[in-house]
Amino acid sequence: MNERPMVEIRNLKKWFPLKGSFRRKSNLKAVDGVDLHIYKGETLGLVGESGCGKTTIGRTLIKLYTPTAGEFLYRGKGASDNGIDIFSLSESMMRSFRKEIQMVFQDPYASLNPRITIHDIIAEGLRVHRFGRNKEERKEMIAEVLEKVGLRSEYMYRYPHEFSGGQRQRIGIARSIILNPDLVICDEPVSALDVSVQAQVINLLEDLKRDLRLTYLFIAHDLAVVKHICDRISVMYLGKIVETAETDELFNNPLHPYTQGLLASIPIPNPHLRKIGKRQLVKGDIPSPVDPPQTCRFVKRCPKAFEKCSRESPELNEVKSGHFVSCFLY
Amino acid sequence: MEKILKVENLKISFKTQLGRITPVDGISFELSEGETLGIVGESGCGKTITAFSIIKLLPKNAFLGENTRITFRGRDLAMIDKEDLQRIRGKSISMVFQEPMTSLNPLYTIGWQISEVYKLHEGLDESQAMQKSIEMLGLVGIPEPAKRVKEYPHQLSGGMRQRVMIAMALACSPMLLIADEPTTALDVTIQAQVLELMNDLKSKFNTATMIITHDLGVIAEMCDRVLVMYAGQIVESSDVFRLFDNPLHPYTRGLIHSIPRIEVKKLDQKKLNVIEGFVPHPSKFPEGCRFRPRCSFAMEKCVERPPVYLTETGHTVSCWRFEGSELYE
Repeated sequence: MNERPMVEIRNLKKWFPLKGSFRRKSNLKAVDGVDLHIYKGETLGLVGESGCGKTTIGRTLIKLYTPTAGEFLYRGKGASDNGIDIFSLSESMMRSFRKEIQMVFQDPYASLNPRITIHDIIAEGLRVHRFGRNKEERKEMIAEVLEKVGLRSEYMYRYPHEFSGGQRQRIGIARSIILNPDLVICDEPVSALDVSVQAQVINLLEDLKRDLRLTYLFIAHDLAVVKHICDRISVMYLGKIVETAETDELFNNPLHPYTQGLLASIPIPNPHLRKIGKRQLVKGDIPSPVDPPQTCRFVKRCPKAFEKCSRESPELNEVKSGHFVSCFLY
Repeated sequence: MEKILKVENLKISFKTQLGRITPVDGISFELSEGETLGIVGESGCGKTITAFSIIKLLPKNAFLGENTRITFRGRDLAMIDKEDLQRIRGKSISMVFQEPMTSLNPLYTIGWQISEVYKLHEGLDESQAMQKSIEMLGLVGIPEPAKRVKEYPHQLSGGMRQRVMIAMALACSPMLLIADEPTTALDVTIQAQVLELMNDLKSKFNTATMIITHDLGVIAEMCDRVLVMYAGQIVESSDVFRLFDNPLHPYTRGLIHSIPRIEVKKLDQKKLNVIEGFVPHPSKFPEGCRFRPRCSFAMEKCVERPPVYLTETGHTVSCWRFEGSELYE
């Protein structure tokens, strides 16, 4: 991959100041210096356990949160080859890029307004971005997008509560793709769904990506899903990226001790490959992201930690072509 | 081995505004000493209330079918009085719930909550009970148990709380442990810790375990035998190896083939198999075979409820495609 990435995120930080702390200000450092590249047409997986900051990254990228620091260089549709820093755009300038960067949310129950019809939910974006000349034309576009995500177009005058979880997630996807975006950020799009429905939505996301030439940032905690859908994967731990590699490389040759432990922890749905009683466990719990130490974040749980690890913070380095890891072992 | 639990023709109905619904409709199974039985199914299949019915935790508007019999070590659980039930619950049968935050009392220390079990069931005094609680917390892998007993649930992480729940459940070495989605709320590294712990303790205490989950990975790791539930009925049961090697019921096959395979290389992965449609609500269960509207093998006959067959491979399966096999019971 010699082309320049469509999205380059540099040193992204999102800190949440905590109130009520006497004398000293503390910060919840949800995202603390993250670099990510996303190439046109690929699916980049962002995985990690709860509290690692993966959802915060997604929300900061669409400016639901104001970033504390960092750059978000975008070279997709409407931007020059050198890229535009989305974070430095004014609100009015931002508007034209908002339609290029869309999001599918985790909870299909909370992310659709229960008081308005599916038509109105999807039409909102069309109106704001002045798609379609009139109501009739917009209605046609909505009918078309509903068919595209596998729903009947006559459903558009129904309300969200009339749909199942899987159907609601299809509606959320319809809302995000109708503006013909470049990049879709999928934040745990299938984790609230039942197994049989999850497969339907995964297949839909894959079909849409191919048909509409989309690029995905796929945020999830389920590594089996991520392996299935992603071309490359970044693993996060406590606000930092610990490892990034192509999917098969990451699974066959995980380098960071956290990635190794994470992969070993997954229960495999095949009793012949049972690991119970034999696996190397990651000990302890995920520490708090409030004022984390400026050392390796994984040091307290790491079976391979040595003296340097509790002194300094490792950089994310490329140790092999396309394989980045943030660990002093390499 | 001794059969410790026998559930016959379990039928659970509710009176609701939608009329009478029957989310569990005629299921039977047995559990032997030391065995781990998995019940797998998607949300709304009835797996959780099946578990609740065994320890009589069903809500007030629920009632059991006329022919339902739940026998625990030879005793009919429907016949026992409240006092006996108290003696069995928490001592001979105990339960680990899905959400460790809501199942611990936030107002009491965890030491108090575990020692209550000892005081109630084994008649220990305050200090003995606390001593036992500390031992038990150590056994489930909580560091510095003597310090931790004085803490409240909110001071513990999710994984720690689930360990406390397990400590409490195993305090009196129960004969039967029912675990309802014990690791669903946990992160994957913590899930692995808890599963390892449950496995260790099971071999130590030889407890019969019932694991209720939607996660086929957890089933494959932990269980000896599996029941697959769909829309309030058992559609298939067999030992865990046979189930994964050769699933028979179209629903089981669909389920196993619809999960992304983590053990298969990305390049070799195929498009996921899909079960069309979604799980029906208990007020709208279809007539006959309940999987019929979603089944790609459905035929005319499926409008009648299929009997349970015992196949040559040792599965029981409730599907007309196996007509001609031996009838089960």
